[in-house]
Amino acid sequence: MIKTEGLTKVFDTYTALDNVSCTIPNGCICGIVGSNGAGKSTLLRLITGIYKPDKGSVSIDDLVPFDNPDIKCNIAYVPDDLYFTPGATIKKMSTLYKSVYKNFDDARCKELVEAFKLDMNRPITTFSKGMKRQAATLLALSTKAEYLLFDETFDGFDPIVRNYVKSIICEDVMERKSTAIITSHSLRELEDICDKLALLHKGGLILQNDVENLKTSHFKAQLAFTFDYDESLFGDLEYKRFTKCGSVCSMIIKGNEEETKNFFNKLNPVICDILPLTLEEIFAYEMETLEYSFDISLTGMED
Amino acid sequence: MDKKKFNISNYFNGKLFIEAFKQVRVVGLTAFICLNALAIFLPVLNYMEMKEEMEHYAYQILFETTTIMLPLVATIFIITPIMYLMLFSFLTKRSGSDFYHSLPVKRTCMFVSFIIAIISWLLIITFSYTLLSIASANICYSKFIIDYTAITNYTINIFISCIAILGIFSIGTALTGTITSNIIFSCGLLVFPRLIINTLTNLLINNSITLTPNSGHFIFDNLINIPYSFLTVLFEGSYNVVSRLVIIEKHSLYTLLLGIIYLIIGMKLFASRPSEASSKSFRNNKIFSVLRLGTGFVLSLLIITTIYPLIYEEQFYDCIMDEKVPLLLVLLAIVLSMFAFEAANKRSIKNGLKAILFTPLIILVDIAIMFCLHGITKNYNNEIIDKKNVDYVYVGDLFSSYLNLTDEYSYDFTSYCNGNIAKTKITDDYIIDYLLNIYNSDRVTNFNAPSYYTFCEVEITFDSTIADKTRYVYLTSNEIMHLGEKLIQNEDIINCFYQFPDSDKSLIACPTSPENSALFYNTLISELKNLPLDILIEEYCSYEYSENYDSSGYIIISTFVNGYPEDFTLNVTSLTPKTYTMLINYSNEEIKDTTIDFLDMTKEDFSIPSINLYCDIYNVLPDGTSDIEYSYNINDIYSQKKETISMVLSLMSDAIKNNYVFDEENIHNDNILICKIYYSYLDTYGSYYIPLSVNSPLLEFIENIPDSDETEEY
Repeated sequence: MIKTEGLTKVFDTYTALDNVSCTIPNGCICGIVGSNGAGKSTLLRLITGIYKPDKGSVSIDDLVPFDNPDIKCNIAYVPDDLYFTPGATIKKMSTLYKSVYKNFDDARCKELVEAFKLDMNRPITTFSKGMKRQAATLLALSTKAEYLLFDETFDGFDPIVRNYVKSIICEDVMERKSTAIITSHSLRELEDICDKLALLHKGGLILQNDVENLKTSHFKAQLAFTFDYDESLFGDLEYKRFTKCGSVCSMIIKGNEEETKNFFNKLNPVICDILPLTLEEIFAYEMETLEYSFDISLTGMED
Repeated sequence: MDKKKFNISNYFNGKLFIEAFKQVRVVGLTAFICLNALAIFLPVLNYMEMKEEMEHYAYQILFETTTIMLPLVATIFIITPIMYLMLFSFLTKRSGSDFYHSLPVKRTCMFVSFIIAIISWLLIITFSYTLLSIASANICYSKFIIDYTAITNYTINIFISCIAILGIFSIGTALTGTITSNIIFSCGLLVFPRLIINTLTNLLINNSITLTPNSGHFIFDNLINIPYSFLTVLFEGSYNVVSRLVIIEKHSLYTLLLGIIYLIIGMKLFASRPSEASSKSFRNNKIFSVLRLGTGFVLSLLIITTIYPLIYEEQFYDCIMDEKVPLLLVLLAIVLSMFAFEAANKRSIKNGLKAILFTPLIILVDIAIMFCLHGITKNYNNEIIDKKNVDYVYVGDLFSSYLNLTDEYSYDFTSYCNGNIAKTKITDDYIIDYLLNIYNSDRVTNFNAPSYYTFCEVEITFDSTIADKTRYVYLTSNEIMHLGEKLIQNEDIINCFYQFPDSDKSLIACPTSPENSALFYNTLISELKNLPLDILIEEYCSYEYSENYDSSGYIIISTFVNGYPEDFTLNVTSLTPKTYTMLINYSNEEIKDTTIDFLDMTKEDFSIPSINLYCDIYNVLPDGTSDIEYSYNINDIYSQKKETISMVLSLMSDAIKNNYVFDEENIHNDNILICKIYYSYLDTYGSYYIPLSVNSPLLEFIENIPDSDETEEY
């Protein structure tokens, strides 16, 4: 389990991460979304043990990862800005990985190389951006690490490779009960793969929740009544973005769908439609709840 | 309480070491191949050049350590930082730094494994070059003399220097984030501390009377830091450090210790280095400020070195005014450096201007230093040394000065003996007392007295329990003479004249065959060891040999003194009859036929203008001196009758054909005279020695030639 408490990282005068506390249980795929400069990469580097926190703590299975090989051998990290040793080929890199990762699986590496149709002996510098990312991903997956950290990994992949990479990450998590953390600035990129989602904004963790939970607990309702009404009709219901046009109103609701339906039915609406929300809409809702500007958050989020 | 167990995997990872070893193999292999090619090529080239000479003289090579090691020094000092910067180049890229720090390896372990990889390459390169050079020289030369201790020490010293360089760069890398800032910082770390220490120490020594470079604190020794000393070779052309490399001494241990301390600091800084420091010039602004102030302070040393000596001038103000332009230029340089450093780093002229405000601080430090130096100098000049603390004295060149004052003694054997004397610790109570009295007297007044214009310095060493402290004592000519006479009675000094190098560790150039040279040399030194010291000094240390002893030739001994080649010459005279006989017999054997041919040819026609011939007939007295009885040269012969000349030459030829051989006894035999013939004709020349009994036909004939024969027309 990855646990952060009050995690803070400051670069000179810039606070990249501010008092972030979260818990990521084992055996799940956790997506971290946020705009550029939100602190996603910093969070991953702190979890990987590359950075030392200025305040707070980060622990993996109750061990501090900074300069701790015992826990770091269970972490494979694919950074946004890739690095390969000078003159490296996949073969040479796998030798380097083998020298430090006890569980590095050669067979798995070869299998993935074939799957990605890469050349093991070709210098990585001659690879395209996507191929480099594939190489880094397959090397990380071959370490058989319990914790797989991917920073903006899907950038540069074509849709086929993207889906393939998603599938092998899912397989890995399913088969080995490993934990994957994937950062992205695109919600759509993550919604079909993640079990949990966290949102970082300007160095702070705004929310984190199970995707399933988010999806089932947030929905949109469209209602029409024969009588004149206002928001007070809905009493204690937890909702946002209430709009009313004539006799028809719509709102985004957080809560139990069945209970809400029963509540509405008691009000005898002429129309009562319950519609599912996209994750983006849910996040927008949550951000508004937390009094963050919905517009600002979205402008930062590139699709 | 839990005790942390030592785990080797926290400090070294074999696989990572191999990986690092591979990463720098391009530089390592290139250096290895180039240097080893040189190791083979240089002796072969030397051999090819000397091949012709070698056929004639069985040429011997003195394997000079410093020359042969020069390519290694040059290469190794360049590749060490290159290898380091190459292997740790990931620290200058954010992605690289993140990558390596994400690997499940302790940072300490990574650092140590990488450093050991570089050290392994340096070990391979350094020692393979040395071994291959020796092997190559061995194959090329039939005989060569090598000082194995010197070459081993040299190799070890180079290797030690590399460790210090690695240490310096490890600190530089850990504190900086770009290659440029790393090089600047590392060079600053290499140069600044030692430059500051050396400048201040030199000021102290130059402005005090008694201080020596070894004044008690070995850390003040200018050559103590080997890599820094090598830089001074480049910039100042002083090669003193090169001579230091052939010995393992304080400087080796100091450099090694410094290297290890630097590496440990580098390792700790590497372990704590934030990955985000990569690609930033400096890890933090404090480090940059230290470098900036350091640069300004080093420049300001020029102010101290200009002003401080003027303190001792009577017209201080006038002197300062004479130097005002250079001083203003230095001040300007300091201001500019402070400005440029800050402005370039912060990319802000405003910050650059703020940095100039630190200049007065530097000047204040300079003034404080000058006050300190003045106090220390004054203290040393008034120092009194208690005799009970004095352990020994080194007389340095005192004996040479003594010999110079007594006669024209400056022969190279004197220099060799003086080398032995200079490193001899003299513990004689009288000499120590005498020197201490001079030292403890009013030396400031004495030093400026006219009698000191010709002086000699000797060193006294005291308080050697922790570290040796040495002081100069200056002596007038009279004092030198007095001490010289005392020294000549000192057993340790006497022994210095009888310490001859071993034949197997020396190159002996003598008129005999190379196979016999060792025997010849050993015979000579065994005879020399039986000579009294006054005769040895008079005959072997004198520039002009006494003509009392007949010299049949000389022998040049090339050997290593403290790892450095030194030559000296010993004449073979009748003072050493065994060697003298050996040399004569060998020389006779070599030129017997040529001499007979020459004499036979000349007796037929001695009108050939280029012919030159003369002979001395003498006997050697028991004390080794020779007594010339007859002396003829070609001009005298021309004044004789043709028949007389032909007869002399014919009798000479017959005497040679009779195969008389010298032995040790007949050198001092009153009944045997030596007839030494020297002749030359075109390219033919030689000296032949004929032992003549008192009743030999040649001697009888010569004795009976009338003083003035009638001159003939030829």
